Amino acid sequence: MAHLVKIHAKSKMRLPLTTLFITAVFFAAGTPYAATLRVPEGHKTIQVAVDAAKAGDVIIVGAGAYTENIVIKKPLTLEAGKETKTPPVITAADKTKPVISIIETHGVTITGIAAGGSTEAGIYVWKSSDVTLKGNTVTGNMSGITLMKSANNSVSKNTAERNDNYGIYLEGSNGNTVEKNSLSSNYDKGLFISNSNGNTVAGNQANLNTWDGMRFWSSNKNVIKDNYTLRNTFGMVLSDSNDNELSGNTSLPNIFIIYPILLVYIGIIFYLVQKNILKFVHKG
Amino acid sequence: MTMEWFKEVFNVVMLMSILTSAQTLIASVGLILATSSFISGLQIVKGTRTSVEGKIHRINGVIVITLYVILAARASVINGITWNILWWVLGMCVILLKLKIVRTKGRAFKYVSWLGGTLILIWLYLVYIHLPV
Repeated sequence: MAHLVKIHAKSKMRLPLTTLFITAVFFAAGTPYAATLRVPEGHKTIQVAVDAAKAGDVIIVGAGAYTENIVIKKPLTLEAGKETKTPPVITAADKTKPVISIIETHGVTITGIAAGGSTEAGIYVWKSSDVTLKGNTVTGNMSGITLMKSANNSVSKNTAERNDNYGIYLEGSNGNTVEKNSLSSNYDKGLFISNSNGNTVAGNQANLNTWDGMRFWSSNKNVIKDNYTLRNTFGMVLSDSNDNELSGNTSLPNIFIIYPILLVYIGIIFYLVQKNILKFVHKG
Repeated sequence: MTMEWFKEVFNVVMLMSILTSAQTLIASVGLILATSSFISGLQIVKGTRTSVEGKIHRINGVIVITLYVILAARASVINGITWNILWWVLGMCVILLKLKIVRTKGRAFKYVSWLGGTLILIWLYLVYIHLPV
């Protein structure tokens, strides 16, 4: 009898434990967690991976060439695989569309991707917030990175070179941070900020652009500091803009021509110095 | 005032990474020496040669050719063996042709100053392409 009571007591103890376990499993299954999707191992194309991803997922893109127009409309992370030294290169399949479009969403992160070959933009952000674009290379597009009507995004350490219009272009975008980007050798402007207020532009290099290194048009209350604009036609241009805070920026004109002429001049002086030294030595 | 001017010049030099880029530095020194060598060469051709002109021309010339070879070698190491090496070979051919004409002193000697001018242009181009962004 006593034995039966013991068994009954044990089963009474087990019941709450089992319930607890089942509840934990149930909640664990229901909790959202970031899955990792891999391209091309798991998914053939990046867009297929983007479509399959849930909010908060991470898509890791392996090295190689991809020809796609990627559209992202949910928060996720798109990043280059760390095991490869060369970034995955995405070329626009339809050249009239951006290589990567981030449309009306938030919390998207793109890192270490190379995007080119679009007559629109390498990375195009439309009405989005909290987007992070870091360490990407955007070359050979109309604009490297375009932010349209987007707020509170971070664009840092990207390389936007040899684009037909602008390296980075902000239109109607407020409160963004654009820092430590390399915006060189673009065929119009390195950075163009139009109708955008309260942005922070810091520590960028905008060199050797055909027209302006940086242009701010009708943009107010931006913080512009510690940027380098070297050897552009115009270094930094602010027009129709008020209450911008400028500090620690450096501009230099295009000295491609001046420098060799300076060297020839030094060469002539060097000849005269050599001649006089040798004459002096021979006399001695 | 002078110190500030030197500081400004130094800042410009640092901004252009002239002192930190070995190739820019070599190309710059090459153009300076080539200019000096060219002027002394012109003096020799014009016949207003003094005892030191020949020495200046020869010393600078030897250093300039050495720098040219170093630049070509560095370019080959950094970029690999590409078709660009043909341009380096072509430049070397101009140098050797000039040396040949000077040494033989034949009918082509009257064109030697033009060849010297071509070498200056080559060095101007070398500086131009080696200017870092």
